[in-house]
Amino acid sequence: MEKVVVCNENGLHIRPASMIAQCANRFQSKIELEANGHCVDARAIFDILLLAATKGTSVTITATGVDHREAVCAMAAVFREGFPYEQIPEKLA
Amino acid sequence: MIRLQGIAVSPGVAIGKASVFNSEGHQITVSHCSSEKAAGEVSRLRDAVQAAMQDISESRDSVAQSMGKQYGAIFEGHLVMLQDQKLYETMENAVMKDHFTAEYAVYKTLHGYAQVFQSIQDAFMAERANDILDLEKRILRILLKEKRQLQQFTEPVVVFARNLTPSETASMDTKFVQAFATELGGPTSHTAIVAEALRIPAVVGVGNFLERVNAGEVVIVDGDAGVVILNPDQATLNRYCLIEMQKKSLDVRLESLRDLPALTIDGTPVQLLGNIEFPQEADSCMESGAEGIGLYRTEFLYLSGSIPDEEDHFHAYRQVIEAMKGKPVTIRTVDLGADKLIERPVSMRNTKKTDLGYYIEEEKNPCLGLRSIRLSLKRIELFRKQLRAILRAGVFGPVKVMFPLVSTISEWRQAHMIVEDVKEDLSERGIPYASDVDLGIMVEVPSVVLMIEHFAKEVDFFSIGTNDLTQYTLAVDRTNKDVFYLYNSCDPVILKLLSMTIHAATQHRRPVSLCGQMSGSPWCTMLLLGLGLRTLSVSPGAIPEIKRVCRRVNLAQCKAVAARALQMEKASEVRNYLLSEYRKLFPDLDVEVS
Repeated sequence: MEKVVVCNENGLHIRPASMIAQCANRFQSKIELEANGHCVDARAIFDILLLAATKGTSVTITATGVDHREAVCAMAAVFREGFPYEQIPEKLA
Repeated sequence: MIRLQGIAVSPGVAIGKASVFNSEGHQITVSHCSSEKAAGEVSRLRDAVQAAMQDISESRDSVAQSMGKQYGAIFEGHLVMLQDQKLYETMENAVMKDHFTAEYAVYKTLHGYAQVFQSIQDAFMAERANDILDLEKRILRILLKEKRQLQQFTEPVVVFARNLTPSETASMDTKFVQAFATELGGPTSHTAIVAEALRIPAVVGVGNFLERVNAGEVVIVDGDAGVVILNPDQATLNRYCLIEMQKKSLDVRLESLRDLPALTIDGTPVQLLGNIEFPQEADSCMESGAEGIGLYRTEFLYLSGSIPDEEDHFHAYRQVIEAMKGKPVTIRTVDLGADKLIERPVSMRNTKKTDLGYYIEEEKNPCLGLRSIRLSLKRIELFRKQLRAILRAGVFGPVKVMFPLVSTISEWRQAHMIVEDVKEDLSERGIPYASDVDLGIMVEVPSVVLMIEHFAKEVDFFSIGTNDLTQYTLAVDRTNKDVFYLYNSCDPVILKLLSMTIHAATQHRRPVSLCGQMSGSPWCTMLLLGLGLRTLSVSPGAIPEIKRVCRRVNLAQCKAVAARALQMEKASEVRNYLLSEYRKLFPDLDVEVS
């Protein structure tokens, strides 16, 4: 289990959520994210979006399964990197 | 409960289940499939989702290549969303368990998510609803590729759409469509006119609201107040049920006027004629007590999808003339304007070589461009075809021909000459036709009013079209909601033009009538009678109400109203004055204004 904070400007919108889901899909463990009192499957992009985790929200990552350690590490790294490529002009997004 | 204000275009109230057409014209209603078909629906769903993913990855690759990888990431997001197993399961369950069709399952699931997003307090997150709606559209587009029909309903519905073309509106099955409301459109767009003709309540120009509607939920369209109500509470529902009932009883009372003459108190007869677009409407004209047809719009022959030939014209006209049983029918030659052509279905617009050849030319200023009589005079063969059909149909009953959008005397003379030429041609070929057909013009361009003395010496009759006259005089696009506030047929300048036209026509003993929407507004009737009009042409449904006003007033009173209105400076002043005079006539009535 590890606690991280959403550090990018626009929160967990589609691109960050899709990066999280992609990352989660690489592991066999069941990975869950908890924020704002809700707990969701890290593979389900829609549910991640519905966490409505804006900048500054704290998110708890938990994983259960054979590769849970690596999974939590990798997931936390994704959060820390702050989801690059997301600063795209609004007009094009 | 959500209350949305739009523009009222066709009166009446309807309470019913919403059927939503998204911007591509996809129709979404609650629709179920039988359990035997569920498996087939699941595979349609799976194929559509697969195809959508294929689409998206192609978009991603081409965008990434041309603009850079970070832009491709937008589509990557869409792709990952669609790969979401849980999302797919939700959609599949909607088909397997609830037996919804694939379309409705997609709509229900993704629309549901989008609505949750829209309710999130963070503006950026709320914006993401658009991404989800984009996905929804993509899948629906694939699913609905094979069937895109507006008229296939099996239960009563209220139609909501971004926009409806006049031909789409005309093709609605009024057995099932109780009312409609659109995000776009103005009060005198042709779609609105068609709605009035079909006698279904309609509201246009509501602004963006489709995303807030759940297909299948109960909604209210109030075509009198121009209001759309989503998710009404019980009190509102009860109130509207009551209004619906009262309306029906007023209709019954008005019906008692049907066989009574439209005579003012002092005994001046007023001739009430009907405006129609479809031959079938001739019957409703007869039913509502019209003394003839003052405006038969013939464009709808063209809007059905192909160029009509002489026989199509002839059969439509003959049907109307015969249905009117000896009462006069005024047929307006084609008034196809660029504004109507723009609303044509995309499939037609792309047709390169139509007979008219003008469908595809985009004009910079369509309202000032090649349209109506100008188009007829340019494409003389099409014009002659229509004239031949009218003259031939004239054998079956009295008929008059009217030319739209005349702006100079030469146009009128040219059109006149072509009619004579067509007559000669018919004689030579021994084809029976009516030789004594009156020819008139629409008065809808200010230049004609200013030259009205010259026209009055030559034309057989005038018909004033206040909709276009207002648009051209005040230089305002009647469908543009940003400048619509300027559009008002009660503007004193319009009253002046009406007065000039009526004066000249009366002096030269030429019949003059008014066929714009103004003639169908009961609160304008006193003004119009006072200005000297004795013939009004209105949509058949409005005849009883106008007749009721005529029977309640005397001419001196009307003249006083007109004289006072002519002195006023502003449209709003005139309008308020006319409304207050109308309320005085019917103190017991809650006056609705449209």
